[in-house]
Amino acid sequence: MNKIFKRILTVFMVIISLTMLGGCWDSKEFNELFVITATALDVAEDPKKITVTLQTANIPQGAGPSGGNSSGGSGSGGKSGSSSKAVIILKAESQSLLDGIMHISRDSNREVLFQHNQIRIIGKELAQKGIIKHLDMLMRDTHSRLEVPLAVVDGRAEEVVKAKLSQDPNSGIFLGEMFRDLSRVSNEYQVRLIDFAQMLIGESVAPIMPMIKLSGSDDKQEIHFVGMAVFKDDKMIGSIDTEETLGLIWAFGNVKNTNMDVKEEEQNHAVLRIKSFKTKPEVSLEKNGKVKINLDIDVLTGLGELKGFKEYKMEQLIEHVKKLAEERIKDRINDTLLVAKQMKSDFFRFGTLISQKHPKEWKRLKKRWENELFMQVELNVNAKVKIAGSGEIVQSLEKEEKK
Amino acid sequence: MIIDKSHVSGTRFMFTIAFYLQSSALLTSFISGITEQESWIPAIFGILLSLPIIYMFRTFMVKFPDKNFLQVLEMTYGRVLGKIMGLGYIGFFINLTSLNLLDLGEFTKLAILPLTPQLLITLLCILVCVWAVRHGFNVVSRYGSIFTLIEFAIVITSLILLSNQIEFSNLIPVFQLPLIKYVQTTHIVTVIPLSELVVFLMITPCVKNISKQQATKYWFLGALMGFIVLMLTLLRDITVLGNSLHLFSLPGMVSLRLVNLGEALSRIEIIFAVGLTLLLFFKITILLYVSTIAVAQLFGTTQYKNIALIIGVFVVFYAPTLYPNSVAHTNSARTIEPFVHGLFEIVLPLLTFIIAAILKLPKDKKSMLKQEA
Repeated sequence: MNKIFKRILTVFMVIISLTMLGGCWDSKEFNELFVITATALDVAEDPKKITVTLQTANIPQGAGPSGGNSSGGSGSGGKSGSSSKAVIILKAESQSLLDGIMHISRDSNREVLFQHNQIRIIGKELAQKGIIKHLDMLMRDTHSRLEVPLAVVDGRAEEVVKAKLSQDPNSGIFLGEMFRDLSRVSNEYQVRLIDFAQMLIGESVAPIMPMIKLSGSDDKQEIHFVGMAVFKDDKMIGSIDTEETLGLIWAFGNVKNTNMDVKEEEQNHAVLRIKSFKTKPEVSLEKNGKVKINLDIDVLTGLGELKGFKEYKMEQLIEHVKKLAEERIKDRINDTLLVAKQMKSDFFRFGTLISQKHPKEWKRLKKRWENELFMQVELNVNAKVKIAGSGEIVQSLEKEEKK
Repeated sequence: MIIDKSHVSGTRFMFTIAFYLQSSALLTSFISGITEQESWIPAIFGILLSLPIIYMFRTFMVKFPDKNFLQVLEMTYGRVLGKIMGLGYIGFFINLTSLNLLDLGEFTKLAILPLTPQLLITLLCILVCVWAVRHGFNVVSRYGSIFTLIEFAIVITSLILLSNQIEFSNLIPVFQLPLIKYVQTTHIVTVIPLSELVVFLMITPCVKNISKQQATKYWFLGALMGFIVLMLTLLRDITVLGNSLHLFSLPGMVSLRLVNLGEALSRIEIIFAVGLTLLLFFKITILLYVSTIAVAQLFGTTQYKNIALIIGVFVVFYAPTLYPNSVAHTNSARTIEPFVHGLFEIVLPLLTFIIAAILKLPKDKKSMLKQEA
């Protein structure tokens, strides 16, 4: 009797565990969900409010599990065909982000699902007003993920999520993948929410965030990476272009999978493939309070493309291109530093470097850093470029042809 | 009087200690909130400070191998005072069980099952714990070694998976905070996870056939395995999260969520979460077992099986009433709890240790653990 009772009890426990712990009571089928692929924040007409725009991947009905990946309407064909949109745009004006999401949920037939959000973009105007209060919810919420990249849009962010791109039907997925690719070049290109939070907390650091721009009109719009937005605390104060951004990522080092172009006058042009790019920063504090920063840069490259340089022999040419590349790195970083000094923004994070290497002195310097000491930073760039391989051909094709 | 007649080997005892400490590694926010990036420094101090305390626990085991701690208290202070102290310890053990159950509930809610009622999770968990406790310590500790290995595997895998995000520069600068913060944090580390090993003084009578040297070896090796995991977790979280470490209530979970190796190996924190829940479950089982034995000891009964169920149900309903919210929980863990815990984990055992030495206890020297010949 006892044994039978125990068995019944066991079965009963298993059934209870299965049904209760599985959480079936709040299950949501796929067609009851809005799968958010991008979140856009903008200033609303009412200055106290913000516009929350959510981009949802439009998964065609009856497309089955395989259709889910084809990022929207393009895969459905048939009746809906070209008329169906790749994305659905949901929009709300509200006091805060969560408030906006609530409005959207209330006014729609489905529930929003944030786990697959690929990117969060912020309109320039809102970025200039300050964004910290809108990030709180994103950090707090269990469903929003910390590794989702952030970006500022030069213009309004909602335009980007609505855009019909010639590159990809879904701009959210496109941007997510674009930043993932860029992060393979340098981690600095991809600013995840957690990175931005770290920069905000960091001592005397000017946070940066990639900036994108929408160009073209109607059906042929394109998204371009146009540089970095520079923040003071949580307010955007300016931006640097892609060329200046190069100086920044070179100063941080660890650049991979990319090229470096070297120019001399008009006709001479070489492209070097970067195999490894290492930067070693060193700080020394001088007695008069000046800060000297030394960047030892070691670059290993291979020749990628050669144009011009007709007056050089191959052996000299390698030496020459090497010197040009070293010059270019030095100039580039110094120019970017000049821009940083103009903006009074330490986005090179030299302040953090000093606080790590010279913590005692940093306590003294901290107050004077942003407005005074950073302006006087002396930067010394020691670039060493090695050109290891010349690719499949030894000579320049152009030169061979002349013989 | 021996309440639980189960016998376990020394090795198993060692692994039980190891995973007991390891399961505390999940909850590092108590210290990371105060000393932020420098939390690894007080952690090292805490480990060093806990070594003499663990030695004291070991000596209790050597001197009174077949007595649990409540029996030792009665021997030292007499029947009345010993019982009163025992009552205090029962309160402490039950409180500890509730706190860990609360942690398990909150962790599960945050990481795995956000919409499932917390009561259901804790109730089902405690029912399984009661089931294990009813079968004695032999069953409770059976999977200790496997779980220790699982925890090691979790920590090492996570280190490998996060290797592209680890920045060692986050470990410097050092000693930038006011001294009092290091003292506070060292106190917390010593008392909350490490000296909680006092609960094992209730278990020692189950460990059979070991010598004095073996007792030392098992206590310290077990603790060492716990220390390693605690330090690795802390270092991982600091190097990955850097200056944002103190923002999070579960830093370990946050750094695991960041795992992203080539897009394919990402969003796999659920695997870790399940492993970590498993460890917390095990810790609760041990604590429930200890509370049960303590209550049985106080009332002089060997029928502990039904007591387990009563305490279990009590704990389920007591745990949610402990704190109004998790902020209060963390706050209390930083300010009040360390002192309460310190009383039961360090002050009273030390006092007992000294008085027992003055009274030349135990009188029956034959029962003491012998040196190996």
